[in-house]
Amino acid sequence: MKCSDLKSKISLYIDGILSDGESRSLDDHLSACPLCREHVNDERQLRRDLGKLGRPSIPPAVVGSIKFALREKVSEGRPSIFSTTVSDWIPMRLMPLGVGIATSLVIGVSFLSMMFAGARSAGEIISSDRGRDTRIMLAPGNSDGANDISPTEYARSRMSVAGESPSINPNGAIVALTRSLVGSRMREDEVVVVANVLSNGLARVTEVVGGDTDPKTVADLERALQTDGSNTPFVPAVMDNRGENVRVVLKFKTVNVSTRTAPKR
Amino acid sequence: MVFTRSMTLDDEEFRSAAAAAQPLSARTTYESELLEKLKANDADAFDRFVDSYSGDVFSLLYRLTENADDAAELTQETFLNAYRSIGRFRGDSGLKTWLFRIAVNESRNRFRWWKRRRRERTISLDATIGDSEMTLSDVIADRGISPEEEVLSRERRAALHAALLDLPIAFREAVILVDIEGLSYEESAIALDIGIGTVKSRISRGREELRRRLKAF
Repeated sequence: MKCSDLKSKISLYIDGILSDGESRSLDDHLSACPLCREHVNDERQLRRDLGKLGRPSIPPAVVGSIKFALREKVSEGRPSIFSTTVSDWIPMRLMPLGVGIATSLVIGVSFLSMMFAGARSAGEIISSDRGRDTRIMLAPGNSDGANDISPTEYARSRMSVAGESPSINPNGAIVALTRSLVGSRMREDEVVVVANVLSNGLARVTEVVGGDTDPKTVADLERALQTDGSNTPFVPAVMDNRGENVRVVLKFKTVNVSTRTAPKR
Repeated sequence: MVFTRSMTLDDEEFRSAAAAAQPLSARTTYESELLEKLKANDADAFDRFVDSYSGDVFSLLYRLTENADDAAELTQETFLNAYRSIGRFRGDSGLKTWLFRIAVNESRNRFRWWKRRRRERTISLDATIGDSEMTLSDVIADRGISPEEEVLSRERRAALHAALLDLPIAFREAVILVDIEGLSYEESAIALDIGIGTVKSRISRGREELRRRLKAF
């Protein structure tokens, strides 16, 4: 074995990552070659010395500065109004409603079409009662219906107001309906119906406000309100701290808003 | 160092075997919990993140740049970059290795900038840093080395620094990661974004170059 053949292997030999066979061959050569032994010794010393160079300590002011910068980023990092999930916005935006026999819910659908040609996003759900409004934002483009908040969590967050204002099921049919309207503008700018919300979370349209409402939109709404199963439009009464039957007014409204600014009420 | 003499596979075989055996730089429970909170944008977790790793990142960047101000600035950039990228981090390596990879990229970008500016600099170990009376030698003085251990002579330390600084950047990166920061060859390969065979080659040639330069002192 020539010295030149071993030169490139000495580092691996020192670091202990040569095979047993290669190491034995190198051992044999080293026992007979003082030049290579010197090379190995030099490199071992070099490695030890490099390890002893120590590690410079970071100045505490730098640590503080990095933490501060990250804290700022974290606080700035709150998702924008158009990318926020329902779970973030529903509890935040929902305000207590007034007491009354009839509770009105106004559901608005905003079509966001300014930024991308032809692209429209879901908008907002507005709850109102006796002139006091509560606005709920839906996550635009989240058409798979998977919301982070569960119906139980949402209902729990509105315990104090659910008696007069039934909690919409965040994974339910009304939310899904608003999403289905994204990209397919309603024929009218506004659809208003009166409905009874039942104890099981389903609802039934009892009156259509306005004589010229598109029958197809009303039919879609009726189907959504009566959808059975786990995606009932409202949270069932047992989970929602409300009475067996509550009358609501549902209002669907189309508004065009710029994606560059938050929608104004 | 996790290598043993029994691991005698070539690069490709080695990568496969290592991947099959166990994840490289397997994350600890602490890291897993921390990563989860970082991804959830937990401000306190980012404080812990900085407390846990900023020293390592600064040390690496100091060795790569040999400039305290650059190291401080690049350390902050590394963490801000990590903040922006944490959502995409899949945990294929340890957090420290991942941060080192970002830090190496930051230093490479800075190095290119320096080359563009054709800025020349020489570093004296006796030069003071900023307005302080602290010298470069003071800053890079041994830490964590017990008094019983042999301490490098000032001359040998100066010679090592000068030789390291004179080393081609590719070799310097590999030597710093393996011989100073104590990363394994695998972790260094990840941090440098190169194959493990290239790490072996750069370590071998880097040490050889260092030896050659040190003989001149």
